Amino acid sequence: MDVEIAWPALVNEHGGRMLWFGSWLVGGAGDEAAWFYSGRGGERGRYPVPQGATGLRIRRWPNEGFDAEYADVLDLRRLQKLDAEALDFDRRQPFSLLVEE
Amino acid sequence: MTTAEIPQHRTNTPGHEGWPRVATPGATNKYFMVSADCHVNEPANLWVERIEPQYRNRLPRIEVDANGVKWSVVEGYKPTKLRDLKLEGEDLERSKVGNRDPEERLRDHARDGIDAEIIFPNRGLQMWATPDPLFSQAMCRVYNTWAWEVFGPYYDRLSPLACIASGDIDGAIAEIDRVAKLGFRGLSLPCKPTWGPGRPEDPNYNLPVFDPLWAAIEQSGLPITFHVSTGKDPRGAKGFGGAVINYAIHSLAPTAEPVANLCSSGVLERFPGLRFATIEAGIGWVPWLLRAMDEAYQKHHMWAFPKLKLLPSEYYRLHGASSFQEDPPGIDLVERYGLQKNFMWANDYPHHEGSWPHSAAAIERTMGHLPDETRARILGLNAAEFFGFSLPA
Repeated sequence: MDVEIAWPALVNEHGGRMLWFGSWLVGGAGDEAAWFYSGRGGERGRYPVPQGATGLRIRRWPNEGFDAEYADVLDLRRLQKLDAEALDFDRRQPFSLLVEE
Repeated sequence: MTTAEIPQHRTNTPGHEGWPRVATPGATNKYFMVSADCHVNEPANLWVERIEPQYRNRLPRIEVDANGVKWSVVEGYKPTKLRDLKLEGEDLERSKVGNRDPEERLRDHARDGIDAEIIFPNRGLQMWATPDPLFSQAMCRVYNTWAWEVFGPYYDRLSPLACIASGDIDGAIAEIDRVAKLGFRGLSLPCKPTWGPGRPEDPNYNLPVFDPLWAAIEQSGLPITFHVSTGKDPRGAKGFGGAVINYAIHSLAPTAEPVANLCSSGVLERFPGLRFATIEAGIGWVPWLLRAMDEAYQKHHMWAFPKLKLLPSEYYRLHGASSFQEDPPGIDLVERYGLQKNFMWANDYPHHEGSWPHSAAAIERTMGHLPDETRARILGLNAAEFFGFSLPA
């Protein structure tokens, strides 16, 4: 099974091209395994889903002085195409390390 | 950039009348200047791309809470709310320099009169911010490999130090062996080997459990540095006064701890080849600490052990050094306490608390009363000797 992902060519806060990073998740606790994309977007690619992958994680750096924002996609069963720009990076993620107050 | 945008407190200077040598960039009679503390902005995807997969989801990252508020999440820090920071003028310029292009760095240093620099990480200072020393060591290995790839060919002038997670003693010894063979000229250890506020049961540098580490370092011949904010979360206070309290008390002041650990415990008697330096913590506190250590050793002699051949202060004078940017009280004490060979100046490029690109003015403001020879030592010769830079012919 393959997933086709469109990596948008967005402008970051430095006025350059936004950096993107894609990696596979394994197991049920959001553990990260191999990565499959690292680049500045403006392209799309097809990625074979490795055996045992339970999801994928997309990181992006709006500002490279800060750490990455991330969004997880946890259901790969019917996922054939993904537009990274359509992911919601402004919502709490299931495997967040933030502690509930 | 217009002059009006440059804050006066950075450019005010009484001048250098009567100085046989000066700090002015490009001057023919300029001091040989080594900045003992600079920083590099690492690639944004350095660690996620290179670290072993089992650690990747533990790396520092930005998270969003249920209210849509963004937080910086690092294992060893309290989550920090991110705020929009609008920088202007030179503050904005400083936020854009300090990059990993060696030629760009050399141009920036020429503008500030710097002949050579010691480079520490920037975001990479978070590599020690975890209670897991194996994870910390994994991040350090990534940084060290990258730093050598980028700066190895420029190492005579642009010299990153190798970062070591000392809480993982076996891993640290292996990494020290690796980086020494690569050619690094020094090591950067956290102020405490165990991340956190400090508990009596945590192993610390005064205990013999670290003797194998000291033996490996002594054998390597490399000096050790302890950079500020590397032993515990420097954000210990919040609310009123937080920024001031955290900088002075929770970031700078804890850097005194490894000095006391090494000077009072017999480590430097057992490993006389060790050399160490505190980085970015200033120097005004050094004479006070030397006095405090000696006072405790002498007046509390009934409790002080092991008995040492020298006073704790003497071990600092023989083995220790400290870097600073602008510390007028500390400079005032250099001659009085005979610390001319122990202090190393730095411009902390590109950080805002440093003096780039107006270091000459900062030096003229604070060092006018020093003898020329002492200025030369503090501005470059001490660091050259400590880190092994070649002096110009």
